[in-house]
Amino acid sequence: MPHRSVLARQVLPSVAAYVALVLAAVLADRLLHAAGLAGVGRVLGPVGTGLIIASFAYSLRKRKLLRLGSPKALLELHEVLGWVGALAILVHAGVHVHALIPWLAVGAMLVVVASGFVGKLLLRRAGDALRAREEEGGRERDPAAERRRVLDAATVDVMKRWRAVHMPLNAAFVVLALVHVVAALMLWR
Amino acid sequence: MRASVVGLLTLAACAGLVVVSPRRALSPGPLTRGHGDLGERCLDCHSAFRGPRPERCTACHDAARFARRAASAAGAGSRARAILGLHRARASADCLACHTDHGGPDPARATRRFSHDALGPESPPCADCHADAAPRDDLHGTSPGACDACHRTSAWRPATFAHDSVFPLDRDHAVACRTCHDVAGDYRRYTCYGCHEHAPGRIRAQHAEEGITRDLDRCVRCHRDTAGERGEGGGD
Repeated sequence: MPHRSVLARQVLPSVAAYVALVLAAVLADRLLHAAGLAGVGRVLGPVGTGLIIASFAYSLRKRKLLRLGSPKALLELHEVLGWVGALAILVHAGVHVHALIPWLAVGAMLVVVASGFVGKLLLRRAGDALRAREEEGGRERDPAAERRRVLDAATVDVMKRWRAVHMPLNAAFVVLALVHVVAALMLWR
Repeated sequence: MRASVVGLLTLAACAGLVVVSPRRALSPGPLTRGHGDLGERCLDCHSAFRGPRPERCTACHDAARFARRAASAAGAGSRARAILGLHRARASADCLACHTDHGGPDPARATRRFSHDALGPESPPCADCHADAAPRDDLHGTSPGACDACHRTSAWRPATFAHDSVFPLDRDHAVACRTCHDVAGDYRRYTCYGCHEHAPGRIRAQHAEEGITRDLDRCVRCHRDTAGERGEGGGD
């Protein structure tokens, strides 16, 4: 049952992580309001922004603008910091629909996070396909297999097409978030 | 489409939105009824990079008139007087320490939780706002205006009274207030004859040995602590 296996191993964990993000945000928002600590949400804006900025270390490493750390470890950090940062931003936003720009920023962030999960799924599927080909060819897995997978032509092609969507979405999110931050700094004291 | 192009298009869309309707683009919530006519004019109250400024409030609002209206809305009694006293003391100060906006049309939702910290170092006397709330008993009647000697602005209770300045409550005197202050509400009155140690007959006999026969109910006049005694006229 290969299809069920793919669903269980690859799709469901990503969907669960995404749903957990939204549920955790709603729960945290409710708890903060119940405890009279709604003001904490304001602080979580800069905190979440900082975490998301830190998660971009992976992008810098990929573009060789950063020399420290292994790309694989930084990718995992990118996923974790992106999830936690998005959670902080969601709690910061609360469920108060007023100004358009911050809400477009939140919407863009949720789309970017979803796109990130899709990218993770594609990378994993490409890796599984490569492993299957290696096993069919009778090659034993070795420490260099991870590197071969990254360099695999099919993987590169799939990820390139994915990035063509992910990066523009990310750019829209970053600009919307920046406009919101600048407006808040301008008008709020 | 390249990310940079999408970024620039998004920025242009944001700029357009802000120009066309800054309220829809940026406002964190509806203004109060009184400010409703400001509409899109955010900068009537907000200064760029400084936020809302109190001088913008007083450009439209007469602080004294505002205080009278607020007190009138609060009705009669201590709350109205407190509001008036507070505004009188803060007439030229920071309105935004207590008032806010964007919480909806109801003006009652446009106030922050009051904190005495907002009064600053030059805070007015407590009685300016709390005259009706001051207790009338003898202890409080003897120290008008000295509320902060015992009470904090966070809450009336717990209060701290420096009993040591009058008589230290050492281990032998760690008793309920009414053991010594036997007349309810009158803390200037006390008796030391509320326990076996200070039985009246025994005290009288001990003092008679030293020729002291008067004022045996005014122990603290000589005995300011349990270690010894001061001479006659040691102060009251």
